[in-house]
Order: sequence, then structure tokens, then C-alpha cells
Amino acid sequence: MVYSSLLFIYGFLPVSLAVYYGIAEKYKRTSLVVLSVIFCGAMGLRVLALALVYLAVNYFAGRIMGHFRKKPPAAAAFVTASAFDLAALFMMRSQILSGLKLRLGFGRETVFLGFSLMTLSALGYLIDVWCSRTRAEKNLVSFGLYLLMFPRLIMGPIVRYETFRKIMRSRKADTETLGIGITIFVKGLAKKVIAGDSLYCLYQAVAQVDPSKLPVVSAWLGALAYIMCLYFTLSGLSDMGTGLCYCFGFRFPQGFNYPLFTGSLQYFAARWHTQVVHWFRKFVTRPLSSLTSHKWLRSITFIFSWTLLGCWYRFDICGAMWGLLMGAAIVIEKRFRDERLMKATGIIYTTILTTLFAVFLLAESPGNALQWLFAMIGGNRIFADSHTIYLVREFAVMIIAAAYASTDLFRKMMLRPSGGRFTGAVKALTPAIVMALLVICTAMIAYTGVSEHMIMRI
Amino acid sequence: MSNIVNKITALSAVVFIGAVSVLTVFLPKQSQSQDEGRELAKFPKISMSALADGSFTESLSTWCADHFAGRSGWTSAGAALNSRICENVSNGIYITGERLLDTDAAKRGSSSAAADSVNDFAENYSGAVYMAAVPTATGVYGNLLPEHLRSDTEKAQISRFCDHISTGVRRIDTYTLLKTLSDQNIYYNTDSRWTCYGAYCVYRTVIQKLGFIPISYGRYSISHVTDEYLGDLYRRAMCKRCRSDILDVYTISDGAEVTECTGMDNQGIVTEKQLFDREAAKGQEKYQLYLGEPLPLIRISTTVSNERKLLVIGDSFADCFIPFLTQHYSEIVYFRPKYAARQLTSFLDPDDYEQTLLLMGIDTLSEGSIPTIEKR
Repeated sequence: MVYSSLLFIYGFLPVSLAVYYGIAEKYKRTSLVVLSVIFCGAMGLRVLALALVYLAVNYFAGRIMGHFRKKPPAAAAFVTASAFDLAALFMMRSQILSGLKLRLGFGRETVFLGFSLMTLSALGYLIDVWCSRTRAEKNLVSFGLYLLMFPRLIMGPIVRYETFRKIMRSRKADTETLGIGITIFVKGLAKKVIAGDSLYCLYQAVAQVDPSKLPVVSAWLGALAYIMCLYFTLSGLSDMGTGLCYCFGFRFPQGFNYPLFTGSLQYFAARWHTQVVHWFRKFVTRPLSSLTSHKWLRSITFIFSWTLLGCWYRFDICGAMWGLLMGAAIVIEKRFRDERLMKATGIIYTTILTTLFAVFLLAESPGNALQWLFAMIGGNRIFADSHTIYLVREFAVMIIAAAYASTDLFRKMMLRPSGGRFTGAVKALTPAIVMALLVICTAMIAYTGVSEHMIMRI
Repeated sequence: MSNIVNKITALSAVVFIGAVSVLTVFLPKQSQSQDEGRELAKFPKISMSALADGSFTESLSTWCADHFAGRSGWTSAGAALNSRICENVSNGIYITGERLLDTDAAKRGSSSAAADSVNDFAENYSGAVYMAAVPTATGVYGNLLPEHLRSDTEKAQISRFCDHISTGVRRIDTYTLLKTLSDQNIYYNTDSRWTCYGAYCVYRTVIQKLGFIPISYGRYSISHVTDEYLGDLYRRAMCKRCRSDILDVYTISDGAEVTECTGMDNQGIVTEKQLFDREAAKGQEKYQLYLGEPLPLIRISTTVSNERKLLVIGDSFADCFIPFLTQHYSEIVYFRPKYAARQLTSFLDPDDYEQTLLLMGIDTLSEGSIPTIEKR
């Protein structure tokens, strides 16, 4: 079950809200765990069984570590649970066991994504408990919510356990939070269904063309559509997750902060999938950087951490290449940054580089990526053809609208002190806009009942 | 203010989602969609294996979509939105001008299993077998599709099918003929099938192969039965801006007459049929104008006194084609594998017919084997 489906929006969600708001306060968290188990079970009982084993292993490892505090049993528990988490992640993401995965019913992308995020959460928790940055959780319901809570299950939000604990303590479910939650959820749904799925069609239209005959404009259009589609799909899922968390009173931060069309790659890195990037910075870059004081070694550590992040998005050489290039480009930008030049050309330069690097995420293989890059620099000696003109004609409005929606221009306008009247009018119209978007998204997924295009090559 | 706005948002969304959910659960369920012309999903059966691999939820999701409150309105609005937001493709149907074309044609499976069934039938049959694999509208008007939607042409699909059938089967090339006539009204705008005129053009070639002289076009009187026909492509695309098609009937006043037309269902019950069921053209299933409600076997006797008998094995392409044959044979039997639950040989002995014409669309032939015509 995915969030962008009729079954979820008009089936599971209203039932969950009715149960959660109808039940006594002391049972609310337990009811949410039970609902999460049902949600997980809907993906398949085998998926549920693995999730419960995951939960049990990390819960008991945390308890042992909390009890023995850096003594050998704690170290054994830490190593065993971490190895289990990493092995499960490797099994989920690697192509080596793809046959076994399909037989076990783990063939769906949402399952991969869910387990990938669950692994980051679990590993972060284990490291924090080991380093005594957080107490081991004794309450199984709380820990169950941390790992399995269904609004966080597909695309986060992921936070460290201490932050989760604070959010859980300050949980407040009322009509106002529900309204905020529904607004964020519908925004995410619109990102996924209206923008993400349309851009997916454009990317697919370009991907159908033989790369050796791909014109320059088509190749750029396809790569730009891909990176924008990836953004709208992932941030859409993330927003839906955050919105659902709000609906149940959990106020989590949002996962993406308008990373595309920013003024530099550093801004892109700081705004792209912030919670996952932050996780890698906290648990990979910083510990490794602390081992050395050499600037160039720290830079290598930074690039290595981005390479791992690339593998998290795509578990193969292409994913690693994307991370490596992003990391290296950010390091170079930091070193040679010219503020005046960046002000004038920052957006163009960032867009060009993020689009070029996106080729490694969209290509079937490194060879295919090189072919695509070759087409982008005009190697095929075709600038545009009738197909390019068709694509520009059909998708131009969509691309311009999506490009605008992926920037923070509208948000800035809303926050402008002089925009009192306009801001007030938009705020007053929020319920109508939310309802209109919900109706539009429902209509757009009504034929198949689900929007499950996943742009990621898992 | 934002406090009130959030509360209004919450209440309106909860009321809307709740109302749609309740209506979806409690509204009476249809088994057939009139608008889409297809069977709707049944509530999935609960089994351990379906729960274990998650397929139960997938089936439940399909059921939920099929029986969603106001589905017809939602899907029409969705089709209009989808085709306006990005390219003119709605639920796999490309909308070009007034014509609809199926973009899934390139994703069809292999037709080799169907070719094996045809070969098996021909091997165990004493008469002459003629095979006409017919392109759909996408095959003839595929050039109207944008480049990325036309990877595998129907010409290639038909060619592969013909390569696979044995030399004993006489092939009739309908593709080249229809392609040369593509500027004429040979296919419906809203359907993947040919018009009566398209069927007539192919009939002229087919009947010569079968050993007869075709009836000239001028001898037919043509009547428009309905101009409100919306075909299978329309039902998938749900595109309101398409114009409906005209269903025609070709008759000859001074020609042979049909003396008996009967249909047989899978239980062996025989009912009276008509070549043209004009009442059906007033209902939802307008295409049933040709031969009425689909049954596995139709038997037509005519006043033609040559004692020639023809067995036709076909799909919906043959429905409007059969009436043209009635001017040449004393008896025609039309077998429709799609609706047959038992073997052709359990209905009749094919060897009683000296000729067999297999007339099927390449879309049907790509769906897999035709077990009901194989010898068991």
C-alpha cells in the first residue's frame, strides 16, 4: 500500500484517524503501533515478519547495550545488531539476491525504501546508545513507533532517537494539527501525482530514444525531467509522511527544502533530503573527519560520505558515481568559490551540474550514462529533431510550472513583510486550495487507483 | 487566523474523505462497467499466500478503484486533466485530433502461441485453411503516434506471426491493403476495429482467395444505424472531446437471403439470432448491432444454392465481416474462441466444412494460445 492510492486515502487513512481520535489518550500510541503493524502487513506478511524481527533485534540490542554500558556484552550486541541491519539492507538493495527477494515478496520499491530508511534509523539509534548520547528505550511501544510508525515507513521523516523522543513527548493531536497535517499531506500528494508522474512521462519519452541518436536538447530535457521528477517524487512521499505524522500529533520537520535551482551546490547539498544527508554527515563524515586534521583527508572523507549517500539512492556503481561527483564538486566549489561569480551564474551552474550528474542516477549502466552524457555535449551531432519539438510543445508548460514549484519563490513571497493582503488572501483560501488539489489528485489516480511510478532505480 | 484556517481545512477534508469512503463502501456494486465496457474486479478472496506476498492488498486496491464512488466522473476528469497537464495520452490511449490510438500495442506479447494453435488446427483439418491477421487502428495509423510510443509496429508483429504459421495455411495480407486505404474511412475514430467499409475492402480480397467474385460496392445499400457509437478506445481513454462514430449496415436487396440464423451457447442451448440486431444499437453495447449478443457459435443458412460451407474462426473484427460472406455460401458457421468454454470439435466437426477462414486482430493473436481450436 502506498500513500498515493485510493485504498490508502479513502480506506486506511479515515479508519486510522477514526481509531486514533476515537480511542482514549492512554491507548493512542498503542493503537498507532497496531495500525502500523496492519499497514506493514498489508505489504505482505513476510514483509511484516522481517520488520518485526528488525524491531526485536534492535530493541533487545539497545536494552543489552543500555544495561551493560560499553562492556563486552554491549559490544557484542552492538556489533550483532549493526551487522544484522547492514546485512538486511544489503539483501534489500543488492541485485545479488534479487531472485530470493522476489520469491519472498520483497519486490516492491516502497518496501526497499522503507527498509532503507528503517536501517538508517536503527543504526543511528544503536550508535547513539553506544556513545551514550541517548538512553536505551525500554518501552517497546515507543521503540515500535520509532521504527514502524506507518506515516514514516516509506520516506521518513527520519530523525535521531532523542529528537523522536522529544517529538513524541510533545505530541498533541487536535483539529488544528490535523488541518496542518492534511495540508502537508495533500501538498506531498500533489507533488507526487501532478508533478512527479507528469515529469516521469517526459523522462520516459526521452529514455525510449536510442542514446546514440539522442539530440542535445532531448538529452538535457530528459535529464532535467529526471532530477525534477526524483525531487517531486521523493519530496512528495516525504511530505505525505510528514503530513500524516502531523495528523497523529507528531510534529516532524520536513525532508526537503527546495534544493533545485539554488545558487550553489553547497546550498543544494544543504537542502536535498536534509534528514538523510544529515544522517550521513553525523554518522559517517564527522566520525571519519575527526580521525585526521589534514584538510585534504577531510575532503576525501566528505567525498566518501557522499559516495555512500549515492549508494543509498542507487545501490550500484552508477549511484556511487553520482555521490562521488556531487561530493567532489562540492569540495571544489568550497575551495574555489568566487562570491561575485556565484551571484551572477550560481543558479545556472548548479542546474547544469545537478542535471549532468543526474545522468548517473537515470542510466541503466555506466556505459549508458556515458552515452547519454555524450549526447548532452552534442556528440551525436543532432541538436533537436521533430521528437524534441513534440516534447517541448507538449511538456513546456509542465516544466516551467514544475520548475517554479520546485523553487522557494512562492514561499518567499508569502513570508514577505509587505505582502500582507496577498498573504492573507492565500491563507484564507488554503482550505479551498487543499480540497481542490485533493480532488484533482483523486481524479488523476482514479483509473488505476494508485500512483506508484518510482523514479528511483532501486 | 491560521488556527481557524487549519480547523476548516481539517473539517472539510475529513467530511469529504469520510463521505467518499462511506459511499464507496455502501453504494450498490456493479459487476460490469457500462462506460468502460469491461468486467469490474470482484472482492478478493482471502488466502494465506495472498496475504503473505501482499497480492491481497493489490487486489483490494484494484477493487477499491473499480468500485470507487463516482468512478466514471472521476476517470473522465482524470483523463482530461492528464492529457492537459502533459502529453495527449490518457490511460494508455493517445488522442490525436479526433482519432484515438492504443499506445500499449508496442507492449504486446508474442503471437507464437496463437500461431502454434493455428498450426495444430490446420494439421488436424482436411480442408483448406486461410489466415487473415488484421492490424488494429494503431497498426494502420501508427505514424500519427509520437516517436517514443511506436517502438514495435503491428506490421512487424503480423510479419512475425505469419513467419510462425505453417506453409499449409494460406495467408492473406490485410495489412498492406488497409495501409494503402488509410486515407479512407476504414477504421473507427474511437475504436481499434475497422468500420464496415474497412471490412468490405478486405472482403473483396478475401473472397477472391476463397474462390468467388466479390460483390461490387455499388450493389449495396448502406444505412447509418447510429451515430452515437463510442468504441473500446474511448472507453479506456474516457476522453469527452472525441466525436462518436457511425455504425453502418450493408445490405443487398436483390441478393441471397438469410433463411436461418441461430446462436449456440456453451450449454448447447440454441437461440434465434439476426445478422443485424438494430435494437442492440440503441442500447449501451452498440457494437452488438452485428450478430447481437456474443455467443460462442453462430450458424447462418442462406438461399445460396451452391452447397458450399464455410467455417469462420474469428474475433470482433469478424462480426461485421460475416454479413458480406452470406452472398457466397449456403452455410456459414462462425466460431468465437473468446466466448467458448469448450472445444470447437464439441460444437461441430470442422471436416464438414471444406474451407476455414481464421480472421483475427493481431491484438487477439498476441494474447496467447487459442486452446479451443487445438485438437485435444
